[in-house]
Amino acid sequence: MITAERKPLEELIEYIKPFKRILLLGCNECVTVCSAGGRKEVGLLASGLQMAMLKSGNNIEIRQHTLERQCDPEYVEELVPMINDADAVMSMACGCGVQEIAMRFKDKPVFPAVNTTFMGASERQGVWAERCQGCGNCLLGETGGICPIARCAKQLMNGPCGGSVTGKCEISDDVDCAWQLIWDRLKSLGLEERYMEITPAKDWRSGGGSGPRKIIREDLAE
Amino acid sequence: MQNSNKLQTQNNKVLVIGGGLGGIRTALDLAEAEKDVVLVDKDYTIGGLMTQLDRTFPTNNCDLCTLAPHLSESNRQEHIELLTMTSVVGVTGEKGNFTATLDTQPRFINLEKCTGCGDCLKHFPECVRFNPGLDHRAPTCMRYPQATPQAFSIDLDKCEDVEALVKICPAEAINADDMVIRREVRCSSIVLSTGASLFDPSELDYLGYAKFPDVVTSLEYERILSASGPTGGKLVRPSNDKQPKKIAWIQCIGSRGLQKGAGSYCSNACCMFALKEAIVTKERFQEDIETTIFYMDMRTFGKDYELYFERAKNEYGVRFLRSRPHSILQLEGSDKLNMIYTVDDSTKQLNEDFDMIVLSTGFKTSEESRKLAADIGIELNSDFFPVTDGFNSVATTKPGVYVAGTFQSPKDIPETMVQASAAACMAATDLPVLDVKVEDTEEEQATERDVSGEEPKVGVFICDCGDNIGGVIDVEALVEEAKNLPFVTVSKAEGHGCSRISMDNIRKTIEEEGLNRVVIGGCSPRTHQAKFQDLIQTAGLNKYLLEIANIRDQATWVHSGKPEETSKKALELLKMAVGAVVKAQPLTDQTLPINKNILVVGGGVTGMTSALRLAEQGFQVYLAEKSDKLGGVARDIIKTLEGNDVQEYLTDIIAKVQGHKNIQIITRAMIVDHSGMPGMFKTGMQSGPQMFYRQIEHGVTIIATGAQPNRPPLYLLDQCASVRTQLETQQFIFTNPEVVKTWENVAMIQCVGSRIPENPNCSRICCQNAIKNALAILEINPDARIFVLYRDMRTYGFQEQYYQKAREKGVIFVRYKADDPPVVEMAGDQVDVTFYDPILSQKVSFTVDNLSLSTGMIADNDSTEELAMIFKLPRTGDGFFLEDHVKLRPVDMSVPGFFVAGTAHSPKLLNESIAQANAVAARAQTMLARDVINLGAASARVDGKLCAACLICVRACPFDIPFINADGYSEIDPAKCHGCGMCVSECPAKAIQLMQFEDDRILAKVEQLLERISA
Repeated sequence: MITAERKPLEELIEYIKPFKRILLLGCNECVTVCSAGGRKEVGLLASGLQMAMLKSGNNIEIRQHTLERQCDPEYVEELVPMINDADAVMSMACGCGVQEIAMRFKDKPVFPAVNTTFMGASERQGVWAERCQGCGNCLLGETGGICPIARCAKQLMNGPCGGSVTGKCEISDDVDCAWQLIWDRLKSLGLEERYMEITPAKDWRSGGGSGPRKIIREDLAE
Repeated sequence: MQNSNKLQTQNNKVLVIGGGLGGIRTALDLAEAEKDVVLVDKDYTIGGLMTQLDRTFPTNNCDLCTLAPHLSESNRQEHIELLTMTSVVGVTGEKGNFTATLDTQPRFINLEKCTGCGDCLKHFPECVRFNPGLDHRAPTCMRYPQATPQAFSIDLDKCEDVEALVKICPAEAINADDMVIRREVRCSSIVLSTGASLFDPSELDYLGYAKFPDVVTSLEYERILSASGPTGGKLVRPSNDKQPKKIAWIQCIGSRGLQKGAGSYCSNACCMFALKEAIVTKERFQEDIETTIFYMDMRTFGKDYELYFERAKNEYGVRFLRSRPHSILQLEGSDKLNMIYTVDDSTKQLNEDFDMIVLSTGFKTSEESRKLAADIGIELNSDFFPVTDGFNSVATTKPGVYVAGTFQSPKDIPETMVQASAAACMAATDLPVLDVKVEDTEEEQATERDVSGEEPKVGVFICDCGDNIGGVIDVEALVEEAKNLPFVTVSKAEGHGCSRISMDNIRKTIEEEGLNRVVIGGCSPRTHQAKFQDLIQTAGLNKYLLEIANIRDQATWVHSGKPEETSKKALELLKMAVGAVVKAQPLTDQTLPINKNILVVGGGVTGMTSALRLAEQGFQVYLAEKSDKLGGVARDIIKTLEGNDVQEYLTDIIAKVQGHKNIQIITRAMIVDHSGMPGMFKTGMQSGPQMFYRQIEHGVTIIATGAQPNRPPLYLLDQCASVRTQLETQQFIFTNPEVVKTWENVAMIQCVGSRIPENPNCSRICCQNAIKNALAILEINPDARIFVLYRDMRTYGFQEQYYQKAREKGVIFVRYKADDPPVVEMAGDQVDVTFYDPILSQKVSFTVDNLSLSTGMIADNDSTEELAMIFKLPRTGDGFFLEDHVKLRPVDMSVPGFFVAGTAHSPKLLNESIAQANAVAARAQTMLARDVINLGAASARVDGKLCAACLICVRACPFDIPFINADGYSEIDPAKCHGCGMCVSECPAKAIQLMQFEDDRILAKVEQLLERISA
């Protein structure tokens, strides 16, 4: 899932200050699941903005709406009947959703309400951790199911650096050394010999090194 | 009913005498099990002693709020005939066929008409009784707002103008011709729960209670702390109205037999009572106040009570002095109380000044109760408490007559509740078994109108509640303003809305105008919601299409001096109610059919007793026992402290259980899985030598898994043959009397493995065990020297008499401190015991032939943890099962359909376990009497279209109810949902709503209230 965190209220107020009528959008996918931009957060932010604006003597109108998925044009189409009543749009979806709105409604200013952070998993209620960087060439099969790209601070490909101490990364005691995890896991699987194989330098073209990426499925795309 | 002199002709009732907490519990348990009850109390309202308490230990909650719903609940029970101001003047007959003669004093108020408005009290305060207790606040209130019956009573002798008094009542409820009514009630059994009185310390001049206003009893202190008390909750010295800086409590006043007129017993609850008062005082004033408790032994033996004691000492800084003060004086020219005392390791006389001194007065039975006991023909002991069966503490010497609560023996609230339920269980066994179920006499169950397609049509009905509302604001003006609110079709003034006439008018209006939503502007929904819900139901509306605006409690009562603002607020409250009711939707209460079989887990005495009681009432019982035989720990006990033969009792009950056709015994049973919901559980177990798997369907589960004797590796236990636990000691005395005869010295060490950091609680049973064994040794060998090394002797209740007897016979009791425990060393077959003697002020050492260790009981952590996981039941920190409410629901568990009894709940004596076993049998019957369970309508509902299947509700639910279903969204079973609202507030997609408390309904209220600023 894509994770996100809401931006500070002050920053959001700066965005909408010049406008009277705001359409505040949520998304019922990833940002709902990571409690950043679902229906509940939309409601909370709308009240927060309204209160802050009222306190500074500005009366604004905020309309709330949550789309099933903001990164699909069909769902975005739902906004057509309401878009003209808004001076500006603020979206609590991830960066994909924000851009989708901007692309569809060319004459409306669109502002992000969240910082899209990473692709991750929820470790437990309220805690999310990065797991994948979308490098486009998955090597989890070689590394015991633990990703050195997303989870090693240096993205090393052939074992840990000298900063790995008692299983922790030198950047923080809260961060596990990915290579320690990989080694432990390979060992428990009896695949220690995998570790001895040298992985050549990674080709980053598939990971964004050759510009914006696109997937075209010939069988599906028309 | 009040003025009818109807002779009861059937004897299928239970007569419950005394409407305190215990009597109410007994009556409710019986009524909920569909048995008829006559509940009599000599007072004007029921409630007894507990209604005078400010807060209760160990939760420090307000009592009234937990008790009050029980009281009004009892009024609504159709199986209970409540007779207040009534005393029992005679009883004839025997079990199954008693006839009781009852005298009801005239109230001069017709309860059916009285609305409790207080007009009579306002105009004729001198002749209206409102039962103030110790409350000398202005007589404009009843003792408390939820008094049952909610009515006043008149003292006609004090009234000069009777005609004017009669006229003042708007409900025409005053009847000056009321008279004493004598009636006879036939009943099958009788439960005495007349409670106890408190010792009056006036006679004890050394305490100066009669002389110094700042010396008060613990109950008086309670009233001073209470918000509804004489000082309105301000803690001030009665002598000068100033806040005290130093307060002392003196324990055992009137108990433990040392003063004039005192009982020889321990009053059981006073230690905790004093601790609570000291803690509450400290909580409120922190560093501003010093609290000291003068005690003999701190008897905090109840479940987790020791922790409360520790908190008082360590967290709140309450000071504890082991001392019985010599006297209290007031020196000339001083306004302080001067206390003279010594402490136990010194001979020095100490003087200390206090601002207030609280006497922890004990319980005693009242003259009235003693007379009643004599009339009924039950035996009393030398302390004037009823003699009861050694294994059934609620059974008196007269068959069919049972006793519960503080009249049985001094005790605290949870034990009163247990006995009350146990008495209900026993009383029910004497009733004839009725095959014919009485047809529901509910007034024509009107069919519900479908209002879903209709525009909201709201009817607003505003009460004046006598002068309560009408005296402060202009009700007619409010009615007019309410007409302009959105969707309001009708707005009317209704006088006393809860009176019979007004209720009838409201019903007619609903029907004639075709209303589909109702708002009552009146008093608290807490007391009156159910009544109005019933009303709109009879008018064909779903009962949830109602809102109550509490304009009495929240406006006219609290702001009576400011009529203008009050009117405004009343209107705002009405607006909120109208806004909310428009959004209200019809809801259905969840109901479930009940499987009436019972699973009892644990085949000890507790489990067998519960099983037997329920089987006798015709229910099918599965009794699952972990080991290969029934009996549990009782197999190792020979006699009780009182000398009753445990083995004989055990053999008898095992035979009865094995011979009962309704009981299926499953030995070597291991519970492996559990599912379902209250009323329809499924529990899987492996059993028998082959460990076959089987599944049992049942509606109720009783947890009676017991505890295990503790065996800590302390004081040479298991290293030296002459070191024994108390259990082993008893068996040894029994099997080897000739060896016991040769013993010269015997030592016993108390609190071995209890009251220590690893096991902080008191094991409750060990003090009496030590005394039991000491007395048994002396019986065989009167020359033996016995030393009991203890920390606090906790021989509560009548056990105190055996403690006294042991001292008389020469047993030497020496106190040791936790930080300086006795030291033992092996000396051949014997043991050298060394300890510090505080009287000699030196270490003493001697060699003993037998060392008995009071090792107490601990939870069998492995099995309780396993069971707690399978059944999803909460436990205490030390592994015992946790009841739902430590005070008022001591044997019910938080998971509906589960009950706990015996030592699985906490360490306790055999007869206490049996009382709990009987209590759970009664509680279980309240559930099993119904064919369906009503779970109410407040449950969480998921909108699958909005759900993002994020799992947050699954993780947030404290009861593990939500799950993601096959369609990929969260599903919450309304029958299992507790309606706590946790998932509702956490759901990031706003896909969950709590019925009855939906967002739009709450927001409508907020919007109505805050309209003007949102602009």
